[in-house]
Amino acid sequence: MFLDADFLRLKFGQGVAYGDFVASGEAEGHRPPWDDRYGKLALDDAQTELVGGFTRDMNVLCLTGTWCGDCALQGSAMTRIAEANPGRIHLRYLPRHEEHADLVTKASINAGFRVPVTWIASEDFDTVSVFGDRTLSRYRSIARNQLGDAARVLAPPPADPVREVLQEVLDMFERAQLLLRLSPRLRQRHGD
Amino acid sequence: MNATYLRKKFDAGLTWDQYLATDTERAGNWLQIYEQVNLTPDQLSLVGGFSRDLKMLCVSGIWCGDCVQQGPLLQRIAEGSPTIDLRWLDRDEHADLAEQIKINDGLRVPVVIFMAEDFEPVSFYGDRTLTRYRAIAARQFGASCPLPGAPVPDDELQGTLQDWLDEVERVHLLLRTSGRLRKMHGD
Repeated sequence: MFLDADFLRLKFGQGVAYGDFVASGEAEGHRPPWDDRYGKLALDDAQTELVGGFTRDMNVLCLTGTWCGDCALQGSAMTRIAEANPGRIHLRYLPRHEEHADLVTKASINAGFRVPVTWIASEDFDTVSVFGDRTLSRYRSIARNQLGDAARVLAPPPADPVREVLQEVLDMFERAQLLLRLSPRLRQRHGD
Repeated sequence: MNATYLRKKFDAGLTWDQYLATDTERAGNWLQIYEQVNLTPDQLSLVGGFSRDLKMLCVSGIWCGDCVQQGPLLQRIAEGSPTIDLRWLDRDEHADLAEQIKINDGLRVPVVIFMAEDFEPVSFYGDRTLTRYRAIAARQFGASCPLPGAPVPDDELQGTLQDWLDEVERVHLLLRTSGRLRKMHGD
């Protein structure tokens, strides 16, 4: 799942922005869930301030599908986060299509080609983190629904399941940003 | 990095006791953190209820402060669960693996590779958790790799433990709800 920087740069270059990606699923009727999630996931003031304080460039590539519900949720959250600091967060989407089999085959999770899978990379496309497919709160919810008591999920359901995912995605971005901000290699380069 | 390769690496991994025995002088720092932290009853109940086998391979350095301060937390989590098998590998002795899990172009440790029972890769996580990064940033960008024997505040340790436990729980639920594994186990 870790990618060579040149390969990640290449795939990032083939990626599309959120608007173009969501539009690509319009004909198949895939757009409404994305618009719905996006509408619910505006950052609050504290989240906006946090992301606005990011000082390191982050290149983010999300392998996804317009048809996928979890992709709409995480993708919309990532888009909201990126919009809060467009100068530092560079986000692209790639569909899990055959034309990107070179990437898809490197993103296997539990022997399946699951989506979404997100790579967060440094300014020079060195991998910082790889994440997929669902967040913890989503897995807890699915386990409760599918397995009932056998799921043995102890945490109570979140008050707002959609915004809980936003916070989980934001935590992922904050961790990557701090890794980059504290990186001796990048601190030397930027003199900070 | 496929299941065959990961199985080979996992089989080469050491148990906690074997790993600490590779450097008895430095092992004291690991044991100090191990004694400082423990799972709460709720946390023990959670991991004690896991039903899917979960392989965890920690690529580490026994000399590394971040490994000293996070490795014992992973060991506590593994000891609390009947289904987690945790092994340790020295980064420098397994450079072929370390090269494939570089973070930000560095051979950072610890990195934990989470796998299904048949060694299919599920998740990679390292080097530090969010709680740990926040704590280090709050110390105003101090030394990037802390001294192995430096004291760690209890709340930072508990927060870091919870971060790791969240990822372990996520991977376990991914495996527990996996269509492939539910069919295999008939559950």
